[in-house]
Amino acid sequence: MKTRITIMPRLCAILLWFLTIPAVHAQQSAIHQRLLLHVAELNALSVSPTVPAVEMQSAREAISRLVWTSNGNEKKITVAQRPPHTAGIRITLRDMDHRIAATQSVELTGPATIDLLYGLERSAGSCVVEFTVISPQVADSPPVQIIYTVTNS
Amino acid sequence: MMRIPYLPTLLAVAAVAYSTAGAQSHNHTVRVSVAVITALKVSSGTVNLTITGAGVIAGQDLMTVVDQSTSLLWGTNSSGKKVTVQSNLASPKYTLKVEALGPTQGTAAGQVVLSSVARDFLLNIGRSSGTCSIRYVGEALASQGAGSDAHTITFTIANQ
Repeated sequence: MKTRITIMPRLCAILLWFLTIPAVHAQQSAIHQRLLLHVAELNALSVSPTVPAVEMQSAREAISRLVWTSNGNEKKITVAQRPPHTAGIRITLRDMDHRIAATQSVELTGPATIDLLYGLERSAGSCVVEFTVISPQVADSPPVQIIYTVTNS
Repeated sequence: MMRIPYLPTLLAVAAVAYSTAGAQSHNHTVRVSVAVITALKVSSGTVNLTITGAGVIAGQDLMTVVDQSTSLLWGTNSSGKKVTVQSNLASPKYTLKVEALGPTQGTAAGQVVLSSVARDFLLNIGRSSGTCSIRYVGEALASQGAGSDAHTITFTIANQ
């Protein structure tokens, strides 16, 4: 009796594949993969528009929207102006969409950094920021940079 | 000169014996048995996902990270098979989703949230060898704070 062995080409390919991969010699039907998902402490701030136009002469108001996200504990947002403007700028917060303690109005008159929002804890939120020039100044004043910072309370 | 007695006779007997042996045949049976074979391999045994500042948008509570650096390879000679996926963590701190991308055989089951319950990852992979990319999406809420989850992900070939 003649012996005839027929193996389909596809099956041959599968068997060859098994033989050429050392890791599968055990014919495992399950495999494990270790995965580490790490979340660092993260803080993000954004202001829009970034350059509100404040008319110095008439002390008109300008507004921006401040938005934030923080997953840290006991955080606050401070504000400062660089370089300090001799006229001073009043910053008022309104339309807060988050239950945090807010200083409703601060005045930036020097180089000091002032608390603007505190009790910022593991949250995302936003508010409207109004800018007012406290005392009108002469024209051609240099632009003032307002710096917001998320920091520890 | 030395003479070997009966040499012609011996040669004749040997010739007959050789011709008789050449005409014989022997049979035996060879049985090739191929058992159900399944094989799985991942291109890397370790994956690290870190949510950094790039995954954070100010004003949004949700922070995400995506990894598509590893792939799954499989082979099976049995029909009616699928690949399932599960984690060893029953209640992870953060949400981890997984999805098969571009399988060369079978059908991707779509994005699933990983838990300790096995979920379909690939369907209809029977009698094939193939590969696909593994796409992980890690999600964290700002309210969940900082931290980490260490998963052991298990891919299994199972009956469909």
